[in-house]
Amino acid sequence: MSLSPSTSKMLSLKSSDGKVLEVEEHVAVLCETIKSLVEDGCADSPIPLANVDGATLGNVMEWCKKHADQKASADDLEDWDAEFVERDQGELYHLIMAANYLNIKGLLDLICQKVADMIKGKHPEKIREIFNIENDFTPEQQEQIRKDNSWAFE
Amino acid sequence: MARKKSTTKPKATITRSSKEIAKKEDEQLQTNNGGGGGGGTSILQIPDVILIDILSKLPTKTILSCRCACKSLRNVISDPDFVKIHLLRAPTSLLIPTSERNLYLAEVDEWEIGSVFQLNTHGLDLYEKRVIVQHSCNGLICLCDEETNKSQFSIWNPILGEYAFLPQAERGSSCKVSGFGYSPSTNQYKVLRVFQHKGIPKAEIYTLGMDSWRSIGDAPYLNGWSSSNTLLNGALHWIIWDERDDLRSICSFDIGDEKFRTIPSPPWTEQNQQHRCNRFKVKLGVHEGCLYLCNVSIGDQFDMWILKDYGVEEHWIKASDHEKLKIQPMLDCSHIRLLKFLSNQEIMHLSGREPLKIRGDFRSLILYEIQPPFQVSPHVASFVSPRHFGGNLKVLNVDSG
Repeated sequence: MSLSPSTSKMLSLKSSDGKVLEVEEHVAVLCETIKSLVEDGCADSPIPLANVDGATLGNVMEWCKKHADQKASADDLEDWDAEFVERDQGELYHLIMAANYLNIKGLLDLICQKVADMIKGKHPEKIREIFNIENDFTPEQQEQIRKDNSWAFE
Repeated sequence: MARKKSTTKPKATITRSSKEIAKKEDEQLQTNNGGGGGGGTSILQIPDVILIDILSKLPTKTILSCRCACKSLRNVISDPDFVKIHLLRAPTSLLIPTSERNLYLAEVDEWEIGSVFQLNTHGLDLYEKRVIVQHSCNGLICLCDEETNKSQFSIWNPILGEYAFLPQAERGSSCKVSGFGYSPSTNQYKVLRVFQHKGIPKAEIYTLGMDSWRSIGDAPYLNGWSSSNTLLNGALHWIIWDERDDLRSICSFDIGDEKFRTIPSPPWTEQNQQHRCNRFKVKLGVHEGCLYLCNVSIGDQFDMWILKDYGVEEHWIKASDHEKLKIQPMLDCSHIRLLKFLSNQEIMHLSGREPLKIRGDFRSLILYEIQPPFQVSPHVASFVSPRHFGGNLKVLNVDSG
């Protein structure tokens, strides 16, 4: 289904914390989940999105709006995306969960790449620090890991 | 270390054990309640399927670092789904044993050499027993120790540092030829050995995870097998040479149905007869899903033939695109190994004598980290563990033995 901006009507989306967001249909349908509802004619009333909170939904729709803009050049989008992913881990986490639930492949790939870039080339200690994870190996396991992977701790 | 940032909610401020994280993740998957903010958040709470996607995009060295970070990441990296997805994405790497008995892995991406690091081989006796690195398939290496009367095979993943000795073959003398490969149709890894029994070439198979070798009858040739083989479409391929070192045919062995077949050789040109093809200069390989035969003995040019319509109406066509590619005249062709074809029609190949040089049309990459001399073989770094095969395979770690 192709929906041009000129004919686009407004959809209202209701977040898990009860906030209602009015979004142009051609923007909202970047979410495959919403697109299916629209195509099936089930998108009349506010669409309840029980898995996405208001703040995250706002961020997701900001991304969709930019990417629905047909005037945006590829370079422009790339720069914009790079800025968009400069967020703390909590926000990135909620964006991943929302992009997965709403089925927005482009956004999911973008955030996943951001997370991959955060880890790339890092040593185990640093990875623990980045992700707030505790080293839960026993001292014996830890010693073995150090022996088996001496390069990783250099 | 907890990170705090207070401009927007929710926050990432937890320090919890990965067990709790895993538990929390389960709860989230069950209740499907990801968006509500709540307490602390770690990226690791995302569903495994997404975490697998992220991890499989990382360089091998970083994945190994993640494996050392905590138990839950270690578990995800040994998950069969991760292993499968990573294998599809893994770039070609170079496995580099040096004369100082060290083993390095270098990841190569087009014209970039990525991370280079030393692998732990302690306890594997790679060199003392003159163990021959026979075959690499999906990140597993099949080693064959020919010092003993009966060939002793083992399967090794150098990235994981895990290896397993295969059951000893009962019959026959040492191998005339062996092969190791994977069949997608049966989802099995098998080792083939051909040996002489009362003057007749016989073949035996060992399927990874099984208790013993089993006979599959006669092999088509006793001698003349090329030392290396090529895996394509779930079948191993060898060049067969005759007594005068002329190319006799190409022999394939289907790992799924365990049948040998003969593929006719390309119609060599008159030019070839002037420069007789030499068994050290004719290479068999795979290019874009097709078998190729490449002759580097003709002056300074590659003569390349590609097998089309494999398994249907097979015919060889000459690859004109690569005709113009010249090898530097001073380069000793017998040391060249084709690695892979790059998107811009260049061929990545190796010369093992000098510091590693990967040449394609006069361009070179030099590996400064490693002291020559060394050998190089292409390898896909994977997380396929010999432990996945179960059965009576006793899997050992290179360090703990």
